[in-house]
Amino acid sequence: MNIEHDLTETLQRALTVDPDHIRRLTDKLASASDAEHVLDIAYRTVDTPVGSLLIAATETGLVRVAYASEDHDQVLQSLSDRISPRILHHPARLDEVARELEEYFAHRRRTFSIDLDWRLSVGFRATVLRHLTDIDYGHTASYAAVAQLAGNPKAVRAVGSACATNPLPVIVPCHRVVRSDGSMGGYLGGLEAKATLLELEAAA
Amino acid sequence: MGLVTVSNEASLVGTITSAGTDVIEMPASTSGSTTGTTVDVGDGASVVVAAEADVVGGVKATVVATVVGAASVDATDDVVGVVVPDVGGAVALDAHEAVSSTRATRQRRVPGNCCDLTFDSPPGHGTAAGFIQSGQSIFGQTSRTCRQRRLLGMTTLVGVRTASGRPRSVGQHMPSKQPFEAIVEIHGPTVLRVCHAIVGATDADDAWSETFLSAMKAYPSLPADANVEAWLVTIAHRRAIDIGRARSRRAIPTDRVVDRAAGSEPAVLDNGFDLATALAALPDKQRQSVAYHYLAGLPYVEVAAILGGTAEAARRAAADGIAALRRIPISKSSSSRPFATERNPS
Repeated sequence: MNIEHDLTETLQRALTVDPDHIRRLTDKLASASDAEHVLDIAYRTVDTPVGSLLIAATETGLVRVAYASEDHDQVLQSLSDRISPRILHHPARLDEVARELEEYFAHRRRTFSIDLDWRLSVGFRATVLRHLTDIDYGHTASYAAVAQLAGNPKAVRAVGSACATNPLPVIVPCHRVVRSDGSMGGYLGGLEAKATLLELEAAA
Repeated sequence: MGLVTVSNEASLVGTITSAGTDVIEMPASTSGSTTGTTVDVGDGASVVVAAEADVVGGVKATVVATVVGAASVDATDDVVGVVVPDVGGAVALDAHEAVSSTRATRQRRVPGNCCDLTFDSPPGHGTAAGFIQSGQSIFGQTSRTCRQRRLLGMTTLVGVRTASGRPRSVGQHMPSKQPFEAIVEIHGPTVLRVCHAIVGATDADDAWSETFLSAMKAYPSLPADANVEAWLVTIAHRRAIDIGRARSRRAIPTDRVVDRAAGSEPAVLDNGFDLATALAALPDKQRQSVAYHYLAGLPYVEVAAILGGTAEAARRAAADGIAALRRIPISKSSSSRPFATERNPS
């Protein structure tokens, strides 16, 4: 038997750590870091008819909405790489977003009024995404029509890639963009999610 | 299943070999059409193909695509990575940062949306590896004319590792640093034990909170390959000293019974002995050496770096501390002596 190992074990046993206690300390850390403006990204998840959505906000506003299929751990890692690693679970910053999403899925909301942080989309993609809110609730537009809206009628494919990399799905309604022949086209959250959202809006 | 329909205007020359090496080569001068080409990439893999590669004339672009789950994709979906070999000595990326190497010869797929690309450069240019992530832009640039060419509006290099091994960020971010939450999750319990051992149960929570708040402030500038635990223990050590000073300023007469603040939770000690008390009775250096070496698992060299002095001094302090702990009396409710030596009387 290894004496060092035993000593370590004895010390660890003696100084027990309760996981709930750590959780409470971590929650307090999130609040304290938020108050001191060092919490660059706060996130939480919400359960919706299209599955668990990860929502993340900077101090500017909502910066990311992610489907479970995108792998939330990967999404957080990507936010860490692209924006800042100072990320903690801190639902308080996302109360308003969660409330509006809940209302949307309950047919009680047609437009979102939350602050958005657009920093994850640049260039023409950003232009495309900003025009998606021109498509009204319950309506759809073709990729070509959105290309026109965004000021570059030829860039149909770029509209497709802008939608496919929309960092703010549901809120920025890329699900309302469909193919010219009326078929649904792709969706970053899966076709089932796209169908669910379109049905939800059609039923309202 | 990975059947991919290629519906771009570039002609497809290479093939996708497997889920692990998703490489398609396209000639730069796009002649012919690949619309409708179907590529089999094997189980569970689907590959996205560059749709609108507006490639610098005469240059071959290697499009690296990555597995995006089992979703079926088409050319309007996302392209995950692109490498531009042979663009005259430089590939400029996103923030127009030049990379001194030019030829991508190896691609390694990493989980998620990231491609890890290794560039093998011509002699005299060093080696660079890039991390390309979906959703941003990559630009090819020739070093002579500095004429910027848009290759694909879909990918970006978010970090570059140079031959010296020192990561260099493109834009303002370095790749692969874990979200701070993971740091708290992984190291939180150990740091709490260390705080407890150093400042006692009453102040352990404050020491922990201040340690992690300080750490969070400094985290973005911590090198990606730093020893996080040693870094945290170093911060905890300093915060503990601050707390010790603050406490001595508001010291209470010693004849009063120490009343534990309501809500604070003294560690429950098994075996019926109060190790925290025994630890608290040790001289600072011994207590710290024991905590940092045995609880945090730091080698004596690291302990010495925190405490000052030599590794040998730290080792002696820890040994003296352990010897003192072994001398503490056996509690009546305990059947075993803490830190019993190895000689079991069986």
